[in-house]
Amino acid sequence: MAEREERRFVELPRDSVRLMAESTGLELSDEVAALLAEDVCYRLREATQNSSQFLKHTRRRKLTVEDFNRALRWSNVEAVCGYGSQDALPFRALKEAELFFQEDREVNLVELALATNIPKGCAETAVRVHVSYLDGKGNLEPQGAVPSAVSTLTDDLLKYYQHVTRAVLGDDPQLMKVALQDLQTNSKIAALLPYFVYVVSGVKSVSHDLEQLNRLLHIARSLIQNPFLCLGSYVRSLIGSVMYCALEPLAASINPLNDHWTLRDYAAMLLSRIFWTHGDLVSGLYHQILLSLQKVLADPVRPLCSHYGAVVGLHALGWKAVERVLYPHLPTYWANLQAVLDDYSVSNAQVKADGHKVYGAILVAVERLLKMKAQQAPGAHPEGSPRHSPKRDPPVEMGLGLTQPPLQLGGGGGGGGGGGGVPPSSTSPVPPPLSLLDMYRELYDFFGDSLAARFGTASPAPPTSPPTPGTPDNARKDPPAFGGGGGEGAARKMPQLTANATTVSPREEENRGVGGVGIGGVGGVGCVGGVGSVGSVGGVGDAQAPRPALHRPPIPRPRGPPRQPGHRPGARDVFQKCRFAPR
Amino acid sequence: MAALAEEPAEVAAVKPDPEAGTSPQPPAAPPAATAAAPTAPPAAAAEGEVTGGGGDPTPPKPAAPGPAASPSALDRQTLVAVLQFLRRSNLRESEEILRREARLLGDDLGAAALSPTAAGLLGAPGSDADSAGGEALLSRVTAATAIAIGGSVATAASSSPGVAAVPAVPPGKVGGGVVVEDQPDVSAVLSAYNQQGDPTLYEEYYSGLKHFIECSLDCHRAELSQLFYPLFVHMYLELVYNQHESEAKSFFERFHGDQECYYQDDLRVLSSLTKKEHMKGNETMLDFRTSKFVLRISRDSYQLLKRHLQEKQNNQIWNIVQEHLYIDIFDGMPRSKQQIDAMVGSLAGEAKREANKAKVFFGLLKEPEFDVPLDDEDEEGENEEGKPKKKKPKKDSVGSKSKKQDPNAPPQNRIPLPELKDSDKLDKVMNMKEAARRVRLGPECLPSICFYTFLNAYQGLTAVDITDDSSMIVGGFADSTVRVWSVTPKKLRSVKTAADLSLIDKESDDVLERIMDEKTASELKILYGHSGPVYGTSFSPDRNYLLSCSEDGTVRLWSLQTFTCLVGYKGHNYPVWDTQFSPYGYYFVSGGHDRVARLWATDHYQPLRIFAGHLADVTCTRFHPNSNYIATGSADRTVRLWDVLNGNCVRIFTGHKGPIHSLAFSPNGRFLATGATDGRVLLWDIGHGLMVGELKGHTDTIYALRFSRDGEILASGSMDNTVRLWDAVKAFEDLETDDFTTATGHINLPENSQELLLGTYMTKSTPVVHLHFTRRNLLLAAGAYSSQ
Repeated sequence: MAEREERRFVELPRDSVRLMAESTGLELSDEVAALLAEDVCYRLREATQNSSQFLKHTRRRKLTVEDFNRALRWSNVEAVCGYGSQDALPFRALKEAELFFQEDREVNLVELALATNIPKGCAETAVRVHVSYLDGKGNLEPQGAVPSAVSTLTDDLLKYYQHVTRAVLGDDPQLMKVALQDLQTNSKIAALLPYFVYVVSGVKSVSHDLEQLNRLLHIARSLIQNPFLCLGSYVRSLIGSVMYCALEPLAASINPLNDHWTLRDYAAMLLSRIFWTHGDLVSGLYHQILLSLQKVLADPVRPLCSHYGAVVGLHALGWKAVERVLYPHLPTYWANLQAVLDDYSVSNAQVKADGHKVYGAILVAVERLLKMKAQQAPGAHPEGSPRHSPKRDPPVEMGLGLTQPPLQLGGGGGGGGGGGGVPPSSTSPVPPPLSLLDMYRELYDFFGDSLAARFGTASPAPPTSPPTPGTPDNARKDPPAFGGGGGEGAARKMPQLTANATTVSPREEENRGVGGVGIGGVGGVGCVGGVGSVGSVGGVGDAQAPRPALHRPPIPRPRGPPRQPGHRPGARDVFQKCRFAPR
Repeated sequence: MAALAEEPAEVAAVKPDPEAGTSPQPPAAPPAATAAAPTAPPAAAAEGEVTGGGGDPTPPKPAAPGPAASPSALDRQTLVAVLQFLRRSNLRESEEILRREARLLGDDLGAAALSPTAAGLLGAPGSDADSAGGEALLSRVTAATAIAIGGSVATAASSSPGVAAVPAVPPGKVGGGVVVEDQPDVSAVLSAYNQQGDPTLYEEYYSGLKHFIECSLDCHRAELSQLFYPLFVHMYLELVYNQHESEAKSFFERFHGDQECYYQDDLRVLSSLTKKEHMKGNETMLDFRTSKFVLRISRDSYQLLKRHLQEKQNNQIWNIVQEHLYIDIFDGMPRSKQQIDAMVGSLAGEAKREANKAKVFFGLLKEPEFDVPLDDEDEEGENEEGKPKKKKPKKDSVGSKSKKQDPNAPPQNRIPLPELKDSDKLDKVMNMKEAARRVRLGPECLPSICFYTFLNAYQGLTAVDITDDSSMIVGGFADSTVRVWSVTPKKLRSVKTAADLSLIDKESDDVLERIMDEKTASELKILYGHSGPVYGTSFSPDRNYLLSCSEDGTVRLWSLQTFTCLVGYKGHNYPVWDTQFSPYGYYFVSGGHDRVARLWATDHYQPLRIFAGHLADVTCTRFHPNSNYIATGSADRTVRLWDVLNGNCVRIFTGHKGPIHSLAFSPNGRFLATGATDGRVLLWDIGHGLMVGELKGHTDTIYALRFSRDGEILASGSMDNTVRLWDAVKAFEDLETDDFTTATGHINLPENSQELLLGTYMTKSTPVVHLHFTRRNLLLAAGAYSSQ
C-alpha cells in the first residue's frame, strides 16, 4: 500500500539533478543534489495538484499541458513551452544509454509555409438542438448526436423509381435500355440512390435467374456511371452485390447450359469499374476486395466457377492484383487444377470443362502480368497491349496502409494451407525482387508454350519470339505447338487447351468489349495464397452468406468417388463435391 | 438603488472600504456592524463548556476562526509579532487597539489570556472566551481586524501602499500575489507547531488512542473515530514541522490507511509534504493550522475521551485536541455512524451548530404589482366571445400570487432592488402567459428534454448559460472567447453606429426596430476580450447584458445590444470560477480561486461585499430567488449561504465529500440542492439549516442542477454523460423538522435515492454542462460532444 502510494508521485533521481546542474555549469555535491531533487519533486507534485483544478473547471477529464502551465504561471514559474500538441508524445528508448526521450522531429517551416494543401479551417462551432427525450420517454439509444437526415421522397421521385425498376426488370428490352440510359444520366435521383442500391442487392435472392442478375448488374453499372451520384458508403453495398455475382456458385450455374461465365465476367468488369471510379470513397476497399478474392481462390472446397470469378476479378483489378494474389498462389492452386484437367473420365467432363475455363482465365491473367512486367522492367522493350498501360495508381494511402495485414495472414495461412511452395520473395509486398525472368520461368513451368509471351530463359535478353499485340486473344487463337518453346523439359502438357480455347476466347472478347476491363497498375498490396484464416471482409461477407445453404447438402455424401474411381480422389473430391450435380 | 450606494457604510465588517487602510473608525463600527455582537453572547453562554475554552461563536466573521487559546508564552510571542507587523505596516490605530485589548485581556484573564493570535491577524480573529465578559471586547477586536482585511482586500486593486502588506489574509490569497511578504506571518502560524515531545512516541500515542477508541463501546466508537483524521493530520504536521522526517514518514505510512476514504485527496497532498520548508505556502496545511477542525461529539463520548487522555497522561494528544480542534459538545444520544458520515467530509470538519442558527428569510419577495398592459387585445380578437372571461382571473394573477406577504420573506426593501422598467413588465407578462401554458410535471409527467449540442467545440466548452426565455444560449470557451447564439429564428443584431443612429426618426413607433442594424444580423456573435478560459457566464434577466468570468481574474460585462464589452471588473486577481446575475438584475456575484465571493453592482467598479470564509476556492455561486442571499460552493467541500445585506455567513452546509460544482435553489426559495465531484446531490433545508436528502446515482462530477419551474422535478447533469430527473416533491415531502432535529442538527437520511430517481437519460459522449427549464417546463440541456 505504502509502496503504491509512493509511486503515485514523480520521483526525480539526484543524478538527474546533478546532470542538469552540470549542463548549466554547476558542480553539486551529493547532499545538495539530494536535497534539490526532493524539493523539485515536491514542487512538481504541488504544481500537478494545482493544475487539477483547472482541469475540473474546464469540464474535461484529461489533464492537459495547458492546465499544468496555468498552474505554473499562477505560482510565478515560467510555463513550459513546446508541448501543447494534442497528440501524445511517445517516448522512445535508447537501449545503449538506457535513455528515454521524446521524438523531436525537425519541421521544415519553409515547406510548411509553401505547402499548397493547407487543410481548410476546422468546421465552425455551432449549436444544434435535438429533442432527445419526449415526455421523459426517449429512445433508449444514446442521444445527443446529430440526427441523421431523414429524406422523404416526393411523389415524383417515387413514381420515377417505380417506372425505372419496372422497366429494367420488365420484358421490354427497348424500355429497359431507355431506363438504364436515364439512370445513367439523370442528375436528380440522388435521393433514390439508397433505394436503387437496395434493388441491386436483390441479386442474392434471384441467383437462379441469370437474366435478372444481368439486369440488376445493369442497374449497378448505370448507377456507377451516373456522374451526378455520389455513391459514398453505398459503394460497399454495390461491391457486395457485384462480388456476389462474380464469386458465388450461383444457382443458375447448376445448369451447364447457362452462361453464367459471362455474368461473372461482367461482374468482374463492374467490380473494377466501381473500384477505379469510386474506390477512394471507402478507405481500405482495395485491400478488402483483394482479401475476399484471395480467400475464394484459396478455398479448395469452392467450385471452379467461384475460382473463375476470383481470377477474372483479379484480372479486372489489374495486373498488380494478379501479381499480388494470383501469382503467389499459383503453385498451390496448380496442383488441384492439374488433377481436374488430368482426369479424362466421362463423369468428370463437366468439371474438367470448368477447369479449362479457370485455366484459360488464369492464362489470360498471367499473360498480362508478364506483359506489364516486361514493360516495366528496365531495358525491356515496350510491348503488350497499350490498353493495359496503367492509367493511375490507387491512392497511396491504400497501398501503404494495407500492405501489412495480408502479409502476416498470408504467411500463416500459406504454411497451413500447403502454400509452402511459394518462394518467400513472392510474399513480399514489393514485387521488384522477383525478376521478370524468374517469373516467366515459373509460369512457363506451368503453362508451357501456352504462354503467348516469349522471353529468353537462358539469358536476360528480350523475348525470343516477339509477342503479338493484344496478346491474350492471340495466345489462345494461335496456341503454340507443344514443346516448341524454350525447350523447357518441365513444361506441362496441356492437350485440352486448344480445344477449349475456342470456347474461351469469345467470352474473353466479350469481357473486353463490355468493359474495357484493364485499367492496370494497381499498386501495393501483397497477398499470399492459402489464407484460410483470413476472415471475410466487408461486403463480401454478405455475398458469401447464402453459400452454405446452396452447398451444404453435397458435402456429407461425396458423389465424386463412386463416379470417378481411380482418379486422384483427393483433388477430385475437392472439386467434385463443390460442383453442382449436373442432374 | 441609490440606497445601496450608502449601504456599505453601515456594513463595515466585510465592506471594501478604501479608507480602511488607515482604519479611522474601527472602534466605532464593530458593534453595529458585525452580527457577532448580538448573537455572540447567548451563543457563548450556551457553549459554556466548550473544550479548551475555545468558543468561536461568530459564524459570520469574514474569515476562518483562529487557533484557540494556547499556552500564554506562545500567545505573547505571537502578539508581539502581530504588533510589530502592524507597526511596520503603518497601521497605527489597529496597533493601538490591539495593545489596549491585549493589556485589558491580560488584566482580566491573567496569564491564560486570549488574544488575537497570528491567525487573528490573518483575518481570523482568534477570539476565545470562557466568560461572557470578554465577549464584547473580543468582538471589537474581531471587527477591527475584519475591517483591516476588508480594507486590504478592497484596496489591493487600487494598491494603497499602506495595506499592501496586510494581505496575509486567511488562506493567503485574497490580497493577491504578495507571497513573499506573508512569509513571516506564516512562520508565526507555524510556530504553534513548535513542539516538544519525543517524536518516536507519536506512533505510540496515536495507536494508544486508536486502541482506546476501538475498544470503546459501539455507541461511542463512531463519534470518537472522528478524532482520527484531525489528530493524524496535526501529529503528522508537527512531526514534519519539527523536522523529524523519517518519523513523519513512518507515522504516515502506518496510519494513513485508517482514515476515511473521503479524505484521500487531502491525504495525498499531505503525503507529498515532508519538509518544513514546504509547509510555507502549502494551502492545505495552512487551512489546517488557521482553522479549527470542528467535531460534534456527545457529552458522554467527550467525557470518556477526556478521562482516557488524562489517565494516560497523553499530553501530546490532549494539546492537539485543545489547540487545533473545536469540539462541539451536545447532550443526549451519541450519533450513529451513518449520521456522522452524512455530515462530515469537509476540509475543516462539520459546521458548528450555532453557525446555522441565524434567521434566514428564505421566502420570496412580493412581486411588484403593476397593471397588465392592454396587450391582450390580440388574444381577445382571436378568441371567441367566451374566452375573454377567462382573461380576468389571469389579469389578477399577475399580482395575486404574491398578494399576501410570505411570512418567511425578507422585508421588501431589505436590499434595494432596481425598479422595473417597462420592458421588464412586458417580459413579466410574457412570463405569466407562458406560465399559464406550463406543463405540470410530476412522476407521471416527466419533461421532454432537448439537448443543445455544441458541435466542433475544439476550443473546449467550459460554461453555458441560457436566457430565462430560452431565446439565446451563450458558451464560454477555453480559448477565451464567449459565443452567443440565438436559438430562435430571430437573429442577433447590434445597434447601429452613432452616426447612423442620429439619422433615424426618433418619433416613429418602431424606433426600437429602426435602431437595429440589419447588416449585422447573424446567428452567432463572438465576444473577444478575455485572456484566459471563460469559466462562467450569465445572462442578465432583461437580456441586455451578459457576464463572463475568466481565468484572467476579471469579470466582464457585455452589452447584448452592441455586442461589446462594457466593463471589466477587476478584483479577484486570480481565476474567477463562476459568476451569476441576481434574479432582479443589477447585482451579480463572482467567486474564484482567491477563496472569496464578491458581490458587485453593474455600475460599481469595486465589489460591494466580499464574502470570505471558505478555506478553498469558491467554485460556484448562486443567488437566492429573493436576491437577499447568495450560496457559494467551494473546494473545501462546504456550501455557505451569505447574507447580501451585511455580508454575514448565515449557513454552513457540510456533508459533501468532494469540491462542490453546482448549486440550485428551489423556486420557492426554501431548499438548496448541491452537486459535487463525489457524484452526489445533497438537498438542504435553508430555514432549518439541515441536510434533508441525498441523491445518489451519478458516477461523476455534477456540473448542472436545476429545479423545474414549479419545483416538482430536480434535474441534474453530470460528466458521466447523463441527465437524471429526481422527484423533488417527494424528497421534500415529509421532512423531519421536529424541534429535536432542528435543535441538535442530527439528521436521519432515508436511503431513498432509487425511489426518487425518475429517470436517467444518456447522451452520446456529451458531458452535461448546463440545464435549463423553459417557462413551459421543457428541459434544455447543453454540452459539447467529446470524442474520447
